[in-house]
Amino acid sequence: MSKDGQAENASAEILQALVEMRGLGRTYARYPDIVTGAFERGRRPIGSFPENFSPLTEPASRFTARTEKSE
Amino acid sequence: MTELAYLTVAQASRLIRSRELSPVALTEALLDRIAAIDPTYHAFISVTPDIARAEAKAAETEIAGGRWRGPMHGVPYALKDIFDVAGLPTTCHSKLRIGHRATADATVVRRLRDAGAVLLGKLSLHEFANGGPTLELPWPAARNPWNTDLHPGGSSSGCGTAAATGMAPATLGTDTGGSVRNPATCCGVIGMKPTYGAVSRNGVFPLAFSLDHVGPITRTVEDNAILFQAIAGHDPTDPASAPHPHADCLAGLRQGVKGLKIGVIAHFYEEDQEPDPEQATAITAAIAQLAKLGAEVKPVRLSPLARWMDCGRIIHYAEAYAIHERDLQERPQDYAAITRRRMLGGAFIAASEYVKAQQLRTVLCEEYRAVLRDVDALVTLSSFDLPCRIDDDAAIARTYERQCRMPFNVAGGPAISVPTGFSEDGIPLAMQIAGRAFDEATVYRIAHAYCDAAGWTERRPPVAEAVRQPVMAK
Repeated sequence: MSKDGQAENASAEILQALVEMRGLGRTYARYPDIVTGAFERGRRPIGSFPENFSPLTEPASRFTARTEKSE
Repeated sequence: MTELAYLTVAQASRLIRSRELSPVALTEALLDRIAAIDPTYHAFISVTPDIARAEAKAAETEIAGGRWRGPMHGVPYALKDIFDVAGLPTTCHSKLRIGHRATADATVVRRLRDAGAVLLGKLSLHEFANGGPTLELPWPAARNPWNTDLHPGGSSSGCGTAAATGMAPATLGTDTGGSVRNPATCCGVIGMKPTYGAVSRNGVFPLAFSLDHVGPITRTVEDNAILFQAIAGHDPTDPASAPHPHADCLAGLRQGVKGLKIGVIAHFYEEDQEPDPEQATAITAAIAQLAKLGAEVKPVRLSPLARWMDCGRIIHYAEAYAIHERDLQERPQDYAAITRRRMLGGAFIAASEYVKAQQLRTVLCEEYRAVLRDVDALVTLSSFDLPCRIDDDAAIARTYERQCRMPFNVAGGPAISVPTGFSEDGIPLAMQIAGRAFDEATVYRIAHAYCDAAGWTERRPPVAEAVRQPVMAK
């Protein structure tokens, strides 16, 4: 099997596993193309990070739009 | 009827206060106009004539008795059908919400009731503020006032259409990735996404909680500021509501731009993506106009647009899916295909990617604050393209990526869309003006100075000629 073929198979397996894990079996059976498209879009990673990005950065988990005055 | 239809909030308010105009007469004129032209534009999901007449009558009686509540008193407005009004359904333009009835008013609705405003009805949107125009929904999609074959922008589509066609002088929408500013851009009106936390979202159906904002769409900047003033302020029932009072946006509205420093984020539309040439020409002329008015204009740089869009997309998808997960598992057929497609993306976002997006957001927010230490406001494009045909699904899908609005949802600062002219075919063009968190006053001040000088908000869509067969009415 070519590398492309192997990658496609792996991707299909991941999709199947995630569909099951997410309880989307019925949705996938009914709308396979839409779920496959959503899988491809959802798995698209962030393309680039700024140079000052660090894995220790505090996430904006409780987001607030701060003002200069409040700093 | 047309003359009353195109009264601004500020004009109507002055006439109502001086008792030269009856709120009842104004309301009746707008109800007549909605009945006459909305079958072409489909801005409204439901009209509320009983509520409107009762509120208009109450305003008239109160003002006659010497009690004037403020600039929204007796002034008609309409709401995107995503805001709760006690006793009415909040459809979110979705089959899934048929049978719903709200038990309480959203905080902003209560504030507008307290201000004496008059509710005309509830407006069309993209399904759950996230789908797109489609034939699959229980109500038709709103049309572009300048050409009914075109998309009016979304998701607050009915807001843009109703404001531009003179059916409602004031409307309220919501904005998660540009949904107030996009219809404002496409319909040639003014749309403000205020600072995150400036306006309560209590009683508003959420899309993505950390990106959601409530914002006004109106025909003039002054009207927009009036409506913002009426709805802004702390609300303990919205966990993200900012605890401090907002600045007065009307006091300095006419101070002009002389002495203000405006940073132009030109790389968004000169390097990061290629705009339609008419959009590019119009924003260049608008920036020159701001300089002519006395602003100091200089280029500024932020992260590439794609980085902002990736960050916003992942947060948006993940948070939206969290809300719709069960319905997408159990009754996916009840969503329109375009909504299913957009919502399901969130099912496949890895937790690690959501964490990285929120970490990236911290860095991008700092970048945004840093650039605004050197300038008072920012200017950039709103949409790269002109509105596409309403039945062109592929072109509509592209609109979500081909825009510069999401960065301001990610950063949380205020951003307004203002018209910068018209294409050769008579379709509106637009730019955004953005500012520091909780500095809506400066954003409104710049927008007012520009719009006053440019005069684009004076132009009216060809309403009388628009009554023809729309492309999707099969």
